[in-house]
Amino acid sequence: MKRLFAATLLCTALLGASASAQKTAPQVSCRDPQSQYEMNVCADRAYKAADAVLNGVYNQLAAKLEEKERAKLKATEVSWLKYRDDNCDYESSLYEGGSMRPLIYSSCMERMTKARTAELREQIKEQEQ
Amino acid sequence: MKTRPIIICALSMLLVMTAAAGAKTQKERRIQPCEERGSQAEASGCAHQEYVAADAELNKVYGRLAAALDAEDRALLKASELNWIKYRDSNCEFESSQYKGGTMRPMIESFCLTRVTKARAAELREQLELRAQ
Repeated sequence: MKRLFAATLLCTALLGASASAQKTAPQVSCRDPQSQYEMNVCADRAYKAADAVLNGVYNQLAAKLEEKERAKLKATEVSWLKYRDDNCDYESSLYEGGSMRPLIYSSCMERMTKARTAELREQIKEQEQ
Repeated sequence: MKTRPIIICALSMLLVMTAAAGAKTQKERRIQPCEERGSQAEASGCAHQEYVAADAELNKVYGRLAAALDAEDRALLKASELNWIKYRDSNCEFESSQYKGGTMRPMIESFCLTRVTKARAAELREQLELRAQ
């Protein structure tokens, strides 16, 4: 009976903690992340920001191309997306089961997205020459 | 454990810088050593040789990394390598397509292949170092 009581207490505490974590999630300050959880949230935000920039640059380049070229760019982007996702799955597999894994995954996605953005920016310059 | 994100952050920045530097050399292709050869055919041959060397180096790094992995991780690595190859080919075909019909096109494609291959080799070398820790 004592055990059941202890387990109930523990569960209540855990549920309460996760509920409050959910409540505070939007308030995570990425200027100074305090925990692994916050670092994970911030890395995901950084990736999403990089992804938004990539989409903008991609559309800028696509708009400069004629239809045939645009189709080539699109095919390249589709294969790049697969490569990025697979590569980040692989890179974060080293941390499988660990609390750092989401951070490693998001950092990989951000790094690759930024590199691809630089590659496409270079192509915009080439098109403008 | 705390130093890892810092290391990873530094490495990521290095990679992005490498990629940017690679893109820059393509912009400044007039001063690439291969282009100082007498003819376009020689320059293209030279650029192709550079790519062959970069590819051989990548294969070496890939082999070393694959050997350091268990079967499950090796399968993940292989899947990403196959997708990388598709991206590499498609991207360099796209990048050189604006020179389509011109004598420079094969050289531009080789420069692209070399740049992308070197970036991938650096990415895998990073992984090899992480696994060795």
